[in-house]
Amino acid sequence: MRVSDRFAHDQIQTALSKNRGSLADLQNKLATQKQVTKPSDDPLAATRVLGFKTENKAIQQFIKTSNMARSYLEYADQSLNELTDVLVRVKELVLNQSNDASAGSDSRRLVAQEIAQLQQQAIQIGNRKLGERYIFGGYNITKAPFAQNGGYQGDTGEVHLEINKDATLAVNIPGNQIFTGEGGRPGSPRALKEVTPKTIEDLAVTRQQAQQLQAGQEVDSAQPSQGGQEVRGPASIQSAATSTQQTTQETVPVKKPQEEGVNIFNTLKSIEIAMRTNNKYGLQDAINEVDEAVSQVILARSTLGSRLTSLQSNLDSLRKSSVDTQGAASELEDADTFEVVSGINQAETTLKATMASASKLIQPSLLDFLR
Amino acid sequence: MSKISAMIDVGRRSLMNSQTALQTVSHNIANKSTEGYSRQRVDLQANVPIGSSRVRVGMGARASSVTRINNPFIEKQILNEGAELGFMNARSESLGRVEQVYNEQLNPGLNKYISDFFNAFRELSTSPENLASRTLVRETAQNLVTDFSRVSGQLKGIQNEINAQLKNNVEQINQYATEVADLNHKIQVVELAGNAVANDERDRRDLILKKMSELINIKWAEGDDGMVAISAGPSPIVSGHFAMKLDAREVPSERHRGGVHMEIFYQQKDDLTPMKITDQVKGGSIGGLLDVRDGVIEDLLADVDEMAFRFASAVNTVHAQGFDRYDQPGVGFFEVGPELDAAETLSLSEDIRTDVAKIATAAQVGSPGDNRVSNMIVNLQNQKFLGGGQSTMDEFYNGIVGKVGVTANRALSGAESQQNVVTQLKNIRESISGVSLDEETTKMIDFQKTFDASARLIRTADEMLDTVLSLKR
Repeated sequence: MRVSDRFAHDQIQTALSKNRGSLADLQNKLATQKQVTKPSDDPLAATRVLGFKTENKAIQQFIKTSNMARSYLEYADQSLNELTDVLVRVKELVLNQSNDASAGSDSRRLVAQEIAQLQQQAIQIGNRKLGERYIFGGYNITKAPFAQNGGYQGDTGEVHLEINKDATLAVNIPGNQIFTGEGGRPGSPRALKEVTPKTIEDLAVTRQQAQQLQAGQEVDSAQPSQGGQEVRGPASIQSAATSTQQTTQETVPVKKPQEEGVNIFNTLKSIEIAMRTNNKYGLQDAINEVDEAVSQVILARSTLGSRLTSLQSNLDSLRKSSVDTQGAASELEDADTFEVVSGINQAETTLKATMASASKLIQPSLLDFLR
Repeated sequence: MSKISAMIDVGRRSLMNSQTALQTVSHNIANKSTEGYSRQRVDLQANVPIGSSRVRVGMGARASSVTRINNPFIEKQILNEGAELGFMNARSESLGRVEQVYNEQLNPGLNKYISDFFNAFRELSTSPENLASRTLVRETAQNLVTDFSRVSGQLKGIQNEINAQLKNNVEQINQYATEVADLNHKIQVVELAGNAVANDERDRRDLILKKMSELINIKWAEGDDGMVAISAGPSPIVSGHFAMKLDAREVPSERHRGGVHMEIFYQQKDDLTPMKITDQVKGGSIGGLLDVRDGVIEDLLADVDEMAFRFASAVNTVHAQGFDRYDQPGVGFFEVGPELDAAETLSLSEDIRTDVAKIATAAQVGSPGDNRVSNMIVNLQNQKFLGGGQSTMDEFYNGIVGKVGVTANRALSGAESQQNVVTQLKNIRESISGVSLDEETTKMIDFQKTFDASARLIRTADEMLDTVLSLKR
């Protein structure tokens, strides 16, 4: 083979620039600690890394949201715990005062004051705030949900938070379900029917249902008022529920409350009145109702508890998938330092070898020997 | 029958031949590094002997011609592969820049801002009453909008750079065309005069042809008169002594974003209307640049516009269903223009920009804690409203990045392997036509010795004449 000078020079130049190029490439990998520094390095990996990044960001947000949801739920649970204490105390007092052996009109009048205070305490519990947010007001979180007389001013909204991909969790129970027993008991079919709308079509359906529900409620309120200070026994609840069902069944396809709960404030108020009026039998009747109220609160707490449990397992799985996605992304894009460093050594050796051979190839010419 | 004077004559001619050869050696050495140079060789031929008897005496040598050592087939191959290389290099270089627009390995880009946007709405869902989370939504939306216009703007910037390169390349072609026409003339003059070959002019012309083919797809043929005719793209650009012109200039266009586009024209004569030939240019670096500008980048712009338009419209539609903190129906969240250029013109609506309380989160009035509408906006992240209902925002965008990556990757590896092919061919060419110092040195010694010997010969003849002349004394 005939080797012209230009040939030799070109070849050396090509080899040198190739070696330097691969060395620079490796150094860039070492400096950035990434083996994929641009999409064309590995298009598939780059795309998947982007997917993992999005996923991981969403997971971090879900973790944040879940922690927030947990604080809402735990705070509600703690508040309801206090409400249970209040109700237990009420029951204790009522039991004490419901017979003539241990109580009389004087003691009842005295206890009536404590009952009144306990009622206010219950209302205060209903008006609990977490940060700037009333937790028992449904969607209406900026206004105290319960008026001084115990009337509910919130709405029936359940705030759903996205705690995982395609999974939402309600972080509140509207106060009327727990305290005034209007919105159906927590966990009853009525309370469970709320779903967060995902699309505009869903929202249209939700709105239609809400309208129908409102129409139904207007029919409800047209019924003889069951509120006020009227004392209701289990029998009256039954009749109220059946009458509601009858009036709404034809007009409204959505599920109506199967049963109305206990209005705790009214119960306390009627107990207070019974105390003041020295009505022993009224007190005896009220014991049942207090029991109902306690079980209503416990039901709400168990709902909160089950939500907390699912939240916890959700958090665990989020943390795990966070580690997983990070690992998978790192596997794809991060450089193996050891490999890169050994690659650099290799490239350096090659470069030196090329230079050494180049110096041998360039220097000698016939002219050098013609002195 | 030999004569002393003939001997002097042979010596003299040999001296001259050696000088010619040494001159050629020095020409070779001087052009050792000249691009496209083919080494030259003096063809020596034995002179016709004289004498009709049985003793025929040689009459020395003569230099019949100076020829260049050159394999036209290799040259042609280099030209063809060089055209391909020009195309691929231009493509991979500009695609490398396009790729940087979508490179999120080191810098934040649309992927990050999209997920930031949706995560901000997730945050807003947890506390719709909170002004801070509303501000966060506005800021991330602003970032997203800015990044949409960054992508669109950078892509258009690359198009503009390509336009500048096109203009440069076209000017280069015109210069080359003029030079070829000039060389045509010179070659014709030299070669018509005798049977000499215009070696150096031909070397130069071959080189220019190669350079032209790297710029644009050319066809060429050499006529009997030694002149080449070249057509660039569809149009004859060199014919005989004449060079025609290409022109690159901006013309109004409805097809392209921005309304103006640079096209390539063929100007046969100054008084004729220029002909648009952009679509017929397929090869060389101009072809590669046009392919990236009108193919790849236009597609990408259409994609990012579709994305911005659909996304903004979807958010606006959902947002309009909601109620803001003033219990008013949701205003437009984004200000979105027509789909063409949607990414560049997209902006936050004036209302949202000035008052974050106008971000609608509630599905009913009087419900500051209602997050159903913001939940629905979050849900848009998983909705397939792009690519004809086939993909979500993330899928669509990641698909684009993958597509750009694959295209750039293929262009890069294609250019690399083409470079290897061309290097290989050039090596072969250099091994045939390149100058080797060792070789030239050997020749130099060789011809120097011939020169010395020839001079000695003349001296000997001179002495012989002296001897003859002194016979009479």
